Amino acid sequence: MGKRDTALILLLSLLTIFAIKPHYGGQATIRLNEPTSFSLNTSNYSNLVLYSLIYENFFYLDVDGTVYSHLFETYAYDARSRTLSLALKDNLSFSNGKPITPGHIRFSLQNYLNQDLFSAIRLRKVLKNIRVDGNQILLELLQDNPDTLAMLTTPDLVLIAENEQIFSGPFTPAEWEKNRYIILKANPFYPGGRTFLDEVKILFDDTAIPEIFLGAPSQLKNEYQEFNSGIFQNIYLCFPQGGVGQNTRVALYTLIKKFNEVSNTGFIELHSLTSDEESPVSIRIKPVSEQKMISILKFADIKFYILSSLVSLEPGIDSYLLRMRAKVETIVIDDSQLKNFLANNSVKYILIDKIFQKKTPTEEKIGQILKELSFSQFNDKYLRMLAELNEVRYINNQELLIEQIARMNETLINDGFILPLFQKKYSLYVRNNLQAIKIDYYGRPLLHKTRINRE
Amino acid sequence: MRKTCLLTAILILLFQTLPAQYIEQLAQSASGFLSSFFKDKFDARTAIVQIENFSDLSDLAIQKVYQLIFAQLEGQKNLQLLDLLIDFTENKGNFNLSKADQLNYLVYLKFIQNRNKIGMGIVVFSKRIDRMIGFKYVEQEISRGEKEMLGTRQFGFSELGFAKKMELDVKTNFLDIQEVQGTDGRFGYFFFYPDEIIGYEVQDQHLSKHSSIKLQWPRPFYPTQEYEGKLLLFADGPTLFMTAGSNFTAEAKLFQFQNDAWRETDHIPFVPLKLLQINGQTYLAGGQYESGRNYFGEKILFMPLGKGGLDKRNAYEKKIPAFYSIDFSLTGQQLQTVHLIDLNYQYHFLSADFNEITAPLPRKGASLAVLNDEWLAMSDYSQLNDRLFFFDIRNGGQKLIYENKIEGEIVFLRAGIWLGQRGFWVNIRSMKNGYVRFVLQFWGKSNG
Repeated sequence: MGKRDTALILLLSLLTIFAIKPHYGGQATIRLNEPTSFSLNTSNYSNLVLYSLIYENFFYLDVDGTVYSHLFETYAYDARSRTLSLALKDNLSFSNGKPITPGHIRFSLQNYLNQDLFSAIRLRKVLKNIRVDGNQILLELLQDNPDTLAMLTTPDLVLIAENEQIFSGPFTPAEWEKNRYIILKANPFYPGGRTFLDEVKILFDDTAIPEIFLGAPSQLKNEYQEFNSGIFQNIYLCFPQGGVGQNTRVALYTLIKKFNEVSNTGFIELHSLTSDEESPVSIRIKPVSEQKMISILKFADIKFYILSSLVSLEPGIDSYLLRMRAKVETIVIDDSQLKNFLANNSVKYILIDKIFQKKTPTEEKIGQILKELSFSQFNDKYLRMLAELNEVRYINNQELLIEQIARMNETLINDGFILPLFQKKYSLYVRNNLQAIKIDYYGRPLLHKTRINRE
Repeated sequence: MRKTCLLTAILILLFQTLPAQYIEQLAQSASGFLSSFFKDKFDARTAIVQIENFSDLSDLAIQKVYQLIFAQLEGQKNLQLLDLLIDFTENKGNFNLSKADQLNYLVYLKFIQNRNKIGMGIVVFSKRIDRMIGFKYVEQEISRGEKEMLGTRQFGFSELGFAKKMELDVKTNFLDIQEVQGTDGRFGYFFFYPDEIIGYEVQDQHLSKHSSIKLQWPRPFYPTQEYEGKLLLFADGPTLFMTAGSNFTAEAKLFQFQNDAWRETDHIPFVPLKLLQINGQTYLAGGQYESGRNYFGEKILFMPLGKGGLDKRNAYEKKIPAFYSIDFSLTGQQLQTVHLIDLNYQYHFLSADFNEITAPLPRKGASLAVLNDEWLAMSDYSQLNDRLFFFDIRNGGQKLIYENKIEGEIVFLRAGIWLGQRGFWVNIRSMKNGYVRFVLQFWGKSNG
């Protein structure tokens, strides 16, 4: 092929990229972890992406700070009445054509507020009442807080229907073959306007190379664009019920660390609760020797729980445990059932992951860890620490703030219910034939406007 | 440097103002021969059906010679000269020969190079006796400057070109425009938006709002990223009707003008596009958008309009390619041909019975509109560099007459009338300093 031909092909491809009437149709493939159900659960990055495809967020936040919504015609904050008014667009429907009403907005908001999420707790603290007036949803605040709209951009706040599983996002589930794939079809009633893509196929195995996948940063991939998702995943060893001896704790910690050394997991060591680059303190836990580790775990009879988002680690851990002759049984728990499971079962050891956005302030991340990972051990002391953290945030004194974060780090580690293990950073890889893909503030690829270059 | 610029400017002006005398003389010689040849012939239905160029004249120059010959013979009463030239590219003319069987005489032109002269052979062929009946060779020296000028200027007939006659800002999601002439001769205009139809009247060459119809759409309602819709005004006897259909609802609204007001009286299960006649029967013809998407499905529907109004039961459909844009060439209301752009941006030219009648132009576009059976306007399909093309489609030809670069992208084209002049409405989306602007322009022919 001559230079002229190449130039022509480039020109043609440019012309099509910017075609005035965009093409509809086609399927995009994306590799994610297999969910356990379609019930909303955004506890890890993979889920964050999956559920953004089938549930519609109240608001979206762009990387440049722009807030927008497909559900609300207008949204305005009135400082005098301390009320945020959201006007629902006319004629919106769920994926089955059922009308979306202000009642659904209120229900979804209340459902979110009832969750034990740090972001939900923050909103709960400022919210006095939720009222519906015609097509308006009125959020009355306890005090003047113009940042309330920004709080509503959280990925956890999505539109759901009461008592039935219908979908509000750009796509709707059509086919699920366990351990292999899920096919999502375009939602004809999507409030943001029908997607250009007809389908998205979510792959769970490595049989095909997907068009969108997550991977370690700076992997050279021909025909792919790399986006910095700004997302990192931290993995912690948690002891939700306390009462675990120091030796056992450190022996299990050593075992997981050693497993990572001999496996190709792509995890890097984590020596802080949030991220080593931003943490004011570095946590160094001295592992025990391999011999001591084996002798402790040989007779420990441990039931070691692993969150389903980390299920890919389970086979490796199992075979490593066998090699070490450790008497540890691994059990996988569904992310969405964690809270209920902990309430009804004795769980002493659990491997948990948490997804963070790099841009989120450190104080928010540490608050989130304290609230969401202390489980039954959350007490007055922690509540006071969170209150103090909020106070110093408002004082706007950086030194005091870092001091408070350091103090919380120290307390949490000393109290011994959480040990940081690893961190994984993610880049999003998108094949060049997909156009107009957008990465939001939370690092999610939004496929609403994505289309396939047919040239 | 300044002197060079000044000299260049003067040269350009000279080239633009000096008559293209040698080319004109060449055309004059050819038309003189043809004029005297056909002088005593009766009902001479004639067309130039073949042009070959072996000279170093450019395609544009050949096209200009053709246009000059055509213009000089157009006034000859006994000669019915049909313009079948579609375009002239790569030294060869492309003609629409679907009407060739209606001709009595065929004319062939051939250009050759004879040192510094251009020679033209003119052959007249009679279809009745099936042989060559006339031949003439003319030769003309063409100056280098004139050849260069012919190569750079776009089409010689500036008076044939379309020009922008008016421009105004419109709101986002402007879907369509229609006009109606009142009994007092004044024109009223209707602007279609997803939530309302706004009526305007012309006052001092400007549009003044006089009415608004708020639109409430029934479910199922399909939100879309690309709002599309069509408005149609038509009269059935003394009664005026208006239809409004879109890609976000399944059915179009039908309004009737009663007691000085528009009232919604019915709905139609497709988006009406044109009122037309086929075999003496009047039909409301339309298509169905694929819900929420920017294109129509693979059929055209026809609903008879008779004395009892619209006859929904006897509606029928014809299969055609799915399309982004379509328009119908009519003579009066009689359907002549159909023009459409498919989902690959490819232009198609169909007969009245919806068969592809010629090989489609190797041309792509995004929107098109037809003015009667005379002019076809088409947009390009690139946001980077959108263009507006006007084709002469009289006598079944498709000759590119004028093209113009557009700042922004053309959303839709619609044939219309502004201040008594026929032409095309062009809706353009442009972006400047991060802000999106929608403008409506009217393009009319300079010579009316």
